[in-house]
Order: sequence, then C-alpha cells, then structure tokens
Amino acid sequence: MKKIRILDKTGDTEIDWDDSAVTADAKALAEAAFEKAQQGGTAVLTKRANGGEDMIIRKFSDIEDNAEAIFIPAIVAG
Amino acid sequence: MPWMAAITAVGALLEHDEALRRAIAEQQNALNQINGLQNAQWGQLGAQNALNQQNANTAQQYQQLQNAANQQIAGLQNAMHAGLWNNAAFAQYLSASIEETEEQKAAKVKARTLLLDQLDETQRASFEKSESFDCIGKDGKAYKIEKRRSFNVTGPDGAKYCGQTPDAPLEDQMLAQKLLLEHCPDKFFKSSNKLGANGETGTIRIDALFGWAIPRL
Repeated sequence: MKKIRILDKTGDTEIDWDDSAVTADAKALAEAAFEKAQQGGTAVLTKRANGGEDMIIRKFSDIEDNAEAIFIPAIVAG
Repeated sequence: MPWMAAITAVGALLEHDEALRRAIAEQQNALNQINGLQNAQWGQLGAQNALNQQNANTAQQYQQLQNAANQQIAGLQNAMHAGLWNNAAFAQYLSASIEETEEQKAAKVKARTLLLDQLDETQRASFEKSESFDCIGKDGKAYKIEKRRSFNVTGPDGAKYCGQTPDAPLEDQMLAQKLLLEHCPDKFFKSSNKLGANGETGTIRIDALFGWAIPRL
C-alpha cells in the first residue's frame, strides 16, 4: 500500500492505493494530484517506511511501497 | 566755644557720610540681587529655548514617521482597491473575525494530530508544553517554530521569517515550515518575509501580490 497526504484546509487529505485493480481509481486520483502539485510548486516529501532517509521526489513512481508522501503546500509571504 | 560747634558740625558730617555709605552699599546689594535674578531668568529662558527646540525636533521626527506609515497604509489600500490583494491573505484577515465552523475545528484537530505524529519526542514534548519546537534545517542551523500565523519562525541569529499557508490550519503551516527548512530551505526562504534581528532592514516579499519586492521601511 502507498499513501499520499495533502496538507489542506481540512487538515489533510489522504489517498491510499496499491497496484491492484481495486484501488485503480485511487491511484489515478493520487497521480493527478501529484502532477498538479508538481506544476503548482508544491514539494512532495516521501517518508520511507523502512527507516531510510526522507527525500523530496519529483516522480510519482518514486513513491515506494509502504511509504507515505506528504504534499507540502507552497508558502506565501505574510 | 566755637571749636566745640565745629567739632559737632564735623561729627554730624561724618555721621551723614556714614549714612550715605550705608545707603549706597544697600543699593549696591539690591542691584547685585537684581542682576542675579536677571541672570537666573536668562538661564531659564535659554533652557526653555533648548527644550522648545528639542520638542520641535521630536515633533518633526514623529511627523516623518507618521507620514511614512500613512504612505504604507495608502499603498496597501490602493493594492486592495486595485484587486491585487492576495485572496488567501485577505480571507485570512476576514477569518479572524468569523466564528470557527465545525469543519475548521475538525481540521485543527486533524492537523494537530498529524503534526504531533511528524515530530520527534523532544519536539513533541516542547510543542505540548509551549506550542513551539526547534528543528534543524538543512543548513545545519536551529530554527524555532512557534504556533502563530505571522513571523513565527526564528533563526539562530534572531531574525524572524514569515511564510504562511493561509488556507490550512496553523499546525499544517508549522509542519510545512519544518519540512521545508529540513528538506528544501530554498523554497522556504524564497517565499518568506524576513524581519532582521537587531533592527537591521530585511526585505518584504510581496511577490505573490505584485510580482516584485520592495525594501522594508
């Protein structure tokens, strides 16, 4: 299972999927969100489940199994 | 005894002379006192003039500061009227005076849970105690992140940074700031206003509003 977590006005929105047909819609939704985030300047940080170093990713396929990717919203000067 | 009359006359003259001398001395004393009073009055007048000048300088400085502030306010008002005000920032100002909805309350709880989950043990204890925590940026420096919307990140030199996520709860903003400082600080510093420590000038970034930056007054 893979997960993205988008920080937003609801606190955060989670989308979980794997490579099974059951979660195909969720995966498509997650991929679309990822592409939109990349275009909008949102950084995506993957938290690795195996204790590896967290890292910024730029490809949807870089999200590993059992990993969680956090969408960090772009900040604006206040 | 004509010589007796002469002596009496001389005595009378001497007494008269002595009386004149005393009168002159008294007049001199009175004159000295008057001079002393006049000098004191001149001194007071000089001090008053100096005070008046100081007040005038202070008033002038105050007026200059007020003019500068008025210009800033007028600039912001013009920007708002011209529709250049960032919608999210404006919504944030409005939201401060609007009662919190159930959805917003739920979002806060969710954001707090996520933030606590992402903090290490020390940071979590600090946040639960003082609603702030320290994090080590990618540059190796320690930054303090506090729970408030504006200028809530303090650098090791005391400089304060303001980079907001106006649509998300405060805890989300704190998490975003932490993750950006740790993993892509360029994004954080590029999009944040800086208020320098010790009063040095920073830069107010209003890129999101105008597409350019102006120096902070």
